[in-house]
Amino acid sequence: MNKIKKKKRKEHPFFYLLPTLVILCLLVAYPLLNNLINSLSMQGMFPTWANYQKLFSDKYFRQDLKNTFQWLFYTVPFEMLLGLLIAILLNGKIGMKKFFRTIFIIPWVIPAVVVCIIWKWIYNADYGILNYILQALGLIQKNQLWVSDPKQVLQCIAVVYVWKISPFVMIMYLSGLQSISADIYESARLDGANWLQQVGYITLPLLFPVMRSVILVSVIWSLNSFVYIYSISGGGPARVSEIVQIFIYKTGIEQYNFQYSAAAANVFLLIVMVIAFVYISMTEKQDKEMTG
Amino acid sequence: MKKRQMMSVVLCAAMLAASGCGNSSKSGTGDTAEGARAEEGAKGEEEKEGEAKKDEGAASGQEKRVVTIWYDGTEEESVKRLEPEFEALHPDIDLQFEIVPYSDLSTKEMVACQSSVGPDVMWQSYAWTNSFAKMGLLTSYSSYLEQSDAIDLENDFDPVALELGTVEGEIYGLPWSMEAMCLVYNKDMFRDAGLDPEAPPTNWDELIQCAKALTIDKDGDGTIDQYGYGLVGNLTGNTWFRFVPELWSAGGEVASEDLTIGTLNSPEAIETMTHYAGLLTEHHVAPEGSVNNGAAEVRTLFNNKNVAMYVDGQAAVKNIQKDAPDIDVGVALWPGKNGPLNAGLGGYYIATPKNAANPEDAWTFIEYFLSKEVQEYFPIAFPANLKARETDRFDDPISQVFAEQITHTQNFQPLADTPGAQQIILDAVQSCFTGMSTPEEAMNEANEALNQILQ
Repeated sequence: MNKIKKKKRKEHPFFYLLPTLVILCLLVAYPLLNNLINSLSMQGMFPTWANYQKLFSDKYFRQDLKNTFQWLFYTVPFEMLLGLLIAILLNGKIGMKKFFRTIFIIPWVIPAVVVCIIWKWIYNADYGILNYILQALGLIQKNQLWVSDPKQVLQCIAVVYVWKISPFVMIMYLSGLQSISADIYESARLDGANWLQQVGYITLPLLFPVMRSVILVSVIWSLNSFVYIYSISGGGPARVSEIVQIFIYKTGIEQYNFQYSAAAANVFLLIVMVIAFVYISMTEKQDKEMTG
Repeated sequence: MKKRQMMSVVLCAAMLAASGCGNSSKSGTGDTAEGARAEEGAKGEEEKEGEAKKDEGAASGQEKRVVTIWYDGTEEESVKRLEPEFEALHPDIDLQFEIVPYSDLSTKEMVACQSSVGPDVMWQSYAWTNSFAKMGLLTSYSSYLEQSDAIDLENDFDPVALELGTVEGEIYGLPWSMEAMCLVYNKDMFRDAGLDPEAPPTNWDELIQCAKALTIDKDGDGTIDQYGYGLVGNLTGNTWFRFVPELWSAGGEVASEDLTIGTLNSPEAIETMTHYAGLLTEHHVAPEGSVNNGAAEVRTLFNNKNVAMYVDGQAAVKNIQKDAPDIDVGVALWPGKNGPLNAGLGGYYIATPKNAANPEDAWTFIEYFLSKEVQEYFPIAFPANLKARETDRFDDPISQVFAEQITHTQNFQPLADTPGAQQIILDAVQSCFTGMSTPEEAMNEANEALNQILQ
């Protein structure tokens, strides 16, 4: 009797997994492999690494790598801080919570390209509204160049990006905050903890699991944020604000040099994978400790 | 504009779905009629006649042969007229126009030509056909042309327009439109500045003088409100089309005649860059943010009366007249170093991929499409078919200036990697605009980069 039951219960996990596996292979494994093959230039019968060698001696690629990490530094910390700050404020006892939440989510809802076109004109050095407002307030005497100035173009676009993405961070944190029971705060208050202590000892540690995934997603998004730079500055002036994603697009799609751009994409993928791997293994232990 | 393009893409998709339905259910006549009616509703009144004729063709029980045509949607109105007209003449052929936005067109065509599914006829910008043909991706029209009575290439077509479509004697691309850019200016601003609106500048020196007079701080707050000249310093193609003709007028060229060595470090090239960037950095007659201005941005500034002169094409002037009807637009031959320069010839070719499914019927369509009757109404710019230019459509003064500019044109060099060269020119222009390098440094660096891609 027992035996029969067991036989009946025998599961076939592979068959259940098959559809997902097939789709993953088609959508992830095949393109990755194909890209790797594409990136090898053939010399007669034998594949060579020529594209990769060329890549590391390409001054634009090296500069773009540097720009990419500068960009990461300009965006992720600020969107984290801003998102967290707004989330904590919105989670407190304030009036018109729904109204403010809706207002703050608006940048996230507008399509990125629309945001970029609007900001491009806001930043316009001659007729932009930003210069106009700052002059009217007496904060600047002369029109600033903003995105036309190679020294500050990346920072200016980072402001747009942070403005656009922090609502998402805010929503994620808010949902994390709302899952923290009010009892814990109450007992802390009874023990005499002030607001700052409550944030430091209760909110942040209990928010860690959310923070962990939000940071990972933000880093990956930031490294892949092609559209903001491409539609505001196009990587210019003279390629100073170009990140690796734009390099890949320009060499592949604009200049039909698909092999070379495949090589660049692979190198970049490797870098991002290493970062993600290190990050995940570093935070895994901490996550276990904290959520115990 | 964007919205309308989206709409038409959706419409196209709906039409495709509808016609697909009709084909698959040959026996159910009710179905087909319903599909056709749905199409009619979607496409509007004007095409009902054509649709009715199409129905007759379908009713006689013939399976229609499909000719797929890819285009960028700019001449949508004319295409709407084309489809029913042609299908009435050839009821056994079904034309299917598919819109691919211009920014994606060359990439999609490149992919289509290398795979086995693609259009039978595609529109190409002048710059593309040559490299597509050299890569062996296109069907040669030479054998069709020999037998054709409808197309007389030698007598009917502008020979300059044929140059880039011909590779080693074989004809791969047939031109249908020709465009050349002119100086576009605001006549009212000329009057206000005390300049003669009927005497626009004819060379670099006059242009600078004129632009200085037109650069004005209207309210005296220390910032300029109106600039004399709208410089283009962004987007590879936009900048290439405006910089290289200036280079020609100074006696320079991008590369040597055999296209193996860059000539961007020549004294002429440095002089050209000194003039071009000097409008911003030395004379300050162009917007300070010019490095972010592509042609579309400059046109917006022109429409908003922030810029008095700039260089653009025929279709752009039509758009200005539509978007800013209060501006008195003037058009003049594009001033070069010592007089009117040769503008770079632009326009569209028609080409057929090597692997096209239905080249025979595609040719039938091309013969019809390039005929005098169609070309008379079809291109917004000038038709490459010279006979079709004789209509009264081009009698207005603005078109006549563009017509004269068409006679002052030359082709861009058919470099193997034109997009790469365009990026190099853009980098040089932008680094001069922002003061990152002097014209000498920028052009020397540009030439080094060009030599690398020419090898």
